[in-house]
Amino acid sequence: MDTIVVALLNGLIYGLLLFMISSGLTLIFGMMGILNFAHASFYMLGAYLAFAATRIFGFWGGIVIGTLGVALIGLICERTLLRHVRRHGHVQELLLTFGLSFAFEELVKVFFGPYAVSYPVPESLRFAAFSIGAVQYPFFRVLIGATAIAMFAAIFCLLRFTRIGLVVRAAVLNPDMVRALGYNVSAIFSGMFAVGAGLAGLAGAMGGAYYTTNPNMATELGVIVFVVVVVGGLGSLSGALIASLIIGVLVNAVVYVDTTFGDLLAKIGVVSAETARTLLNVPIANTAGVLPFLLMLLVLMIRPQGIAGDERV
Amino acid sequence: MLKLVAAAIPALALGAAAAAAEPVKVAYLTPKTGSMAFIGAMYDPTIDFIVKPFNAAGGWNGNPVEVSVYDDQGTTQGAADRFKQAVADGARIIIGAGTSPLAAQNLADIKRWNQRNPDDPAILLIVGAEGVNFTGADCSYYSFRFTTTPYIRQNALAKVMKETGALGQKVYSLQPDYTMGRDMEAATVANAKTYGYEVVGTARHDVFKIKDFSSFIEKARAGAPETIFTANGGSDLQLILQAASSAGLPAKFAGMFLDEPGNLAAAGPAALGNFTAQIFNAQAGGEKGEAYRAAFNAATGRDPVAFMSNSLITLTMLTHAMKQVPAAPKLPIKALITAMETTKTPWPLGDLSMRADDHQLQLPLVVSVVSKDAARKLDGTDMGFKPVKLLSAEEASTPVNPDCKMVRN
Repeated sequence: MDTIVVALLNGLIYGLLLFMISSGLTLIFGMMGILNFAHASFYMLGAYLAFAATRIFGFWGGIVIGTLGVALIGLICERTLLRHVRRHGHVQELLLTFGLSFAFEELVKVFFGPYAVSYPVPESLRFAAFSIGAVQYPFFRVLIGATAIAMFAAIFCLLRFTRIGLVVRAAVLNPDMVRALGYNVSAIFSGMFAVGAGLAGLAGAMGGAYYTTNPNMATELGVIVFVVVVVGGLGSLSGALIASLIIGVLVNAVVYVDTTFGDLLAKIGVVSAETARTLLNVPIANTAGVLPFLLMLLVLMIRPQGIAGDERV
Repeated sequence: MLKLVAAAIPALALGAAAAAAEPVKVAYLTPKTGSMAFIGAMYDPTIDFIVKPFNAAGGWNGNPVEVSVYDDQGTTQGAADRFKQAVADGARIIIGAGTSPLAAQNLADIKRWNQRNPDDPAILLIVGAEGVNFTGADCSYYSFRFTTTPYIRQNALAKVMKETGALGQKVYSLQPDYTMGRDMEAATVANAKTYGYEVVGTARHDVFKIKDFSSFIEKARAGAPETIFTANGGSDLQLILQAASSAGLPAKFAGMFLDEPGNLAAAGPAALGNFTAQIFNAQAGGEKGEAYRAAFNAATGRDPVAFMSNSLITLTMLTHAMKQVPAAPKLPIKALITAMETTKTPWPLGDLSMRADDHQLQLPLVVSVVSKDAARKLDGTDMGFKPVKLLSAEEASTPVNPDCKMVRN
């Protein structure tokens, strides 16, 4: 029983971290139509900026600088690069952001070296929030989860209930009309891109401390955030949240499954017991890494627009 | 094309003789970019350190050794392409310095080249890949392995930890799901009887794809292991240690790649008390070891750790064997192979040799524990590797793999 609770909690919180990273991506895509391949790089930059700033401003200062710094980088990228390729279409945007992701990775290696850096959770935050059986549940994990939930609530309320949200949504639907009404649409778009990047920066500043900060962290998560966005439905914030939680729980739960693919298929009579023991003797627990992709395949087959995606997309 | 000529220029003292000398070309194939660039970065400082003094002393009968680094980008396609390029550039000594999948590609390329060019063979020196197959079913007269296998490392760890009472009765195996991890799991299971422990569970995971290891840690906790054997390295190892420490898992980890640069820094206090089987540890080597460390540090600005030591061993043994090969218009590869198989090379921790039967390096191993009392601290942390025991090459050795049927020609 304890194990199930812990597994579920671990899954939910990992899912919430995934949501933190992918919410910015889905926001940028949903609002501006930019598929930003460099998004996971913003996550990495957030971690490194926070790591560098922590030495001077302390841990919380690092988190703030990581978030704002990446938002600023996002703003600069949008104003100096993305803006100019937008009229050439999506492929150009995609190629540009893809190139940016390489550039960011190599830049990080130039400044911080090819190895992992020491960016730990501060001693003052290393304590157990509560215990479940023998498991002391770390406080920082709970903090990551709480931050993600707060973030979701903030973005949701901002877009739904405020004047800023109204203008932003209008600018997405009909930019010319909004421009004619006297709003600076160009600034609104830059602002949104910056916010999206900043969200990834915040996730990096928190996640980098709890997990590790190394030049591979963007590559490790780069694909999975796209899986989250596709499964959730392109551009849907609540879809991204649902998809993140499903993936987080699935990936964590599958580790406990003590059976092989062969046994499973043999039980339902698809393959012979002989094949199950030899060819298909692959423990299901070993597939935690590929599971999100299987899920994506399934979703694309059954519901191509994603869990909460707009059917018109 | 990325090609860094790392060491070439013959010493001026050789004068006219050197001007006519043909360099012996050595190609170093390793990831320099991409997600495995951290592996390639370890080798750079080692090349000059060995090759410069060798060339200054006259090289191979007046011919300097020229080592060029080729970037295989960590992909097998890259490895195949760089191999072609290296051979076209005239290199017949290929150093394969990547992971097991890359070394497998290098080996396949060498075998094909040698089949097609029996009069102009090339040899492969495997620096880092630990997959058992390279000295087992895939062993070859033209390839040498300059590191250990998971069997050698697991055996050393279990032996020393048992002797010092650190092993416990229950062990667990948590491995990356590819050749080396599977070998480590097999070794952990195979040694259970010898060292009197029970394997309470095994798990394998995708390499560099799992971000959150907490569920693996909880699964391990269910068996209440005292020691967890792992062949993990890089970010996977850091994430596992972090997850175990923040979840308060009492077990200690025993592995082989904890001394990679960055691992102690990233893992922080989570690394304390964990065991590792090291290729080199200056403290274990006494005065000789300390002198070697100091010389390396003076030349490169850092201490030799992890696969840097494998590279130092490879280049030292290569140059040492070259000295036994008499002068000729071109370095005869077969004579070099014979020299490699028969010479003993001095090393600060004890002699190194290459077993002729399977071309497996015979080397001393140090079992160390991460501690604040270590003589040398690493990565800017207050932690280092405190040697528990130095095993001689004979003690660390495991028998020849029966799968190895070497054709000697």
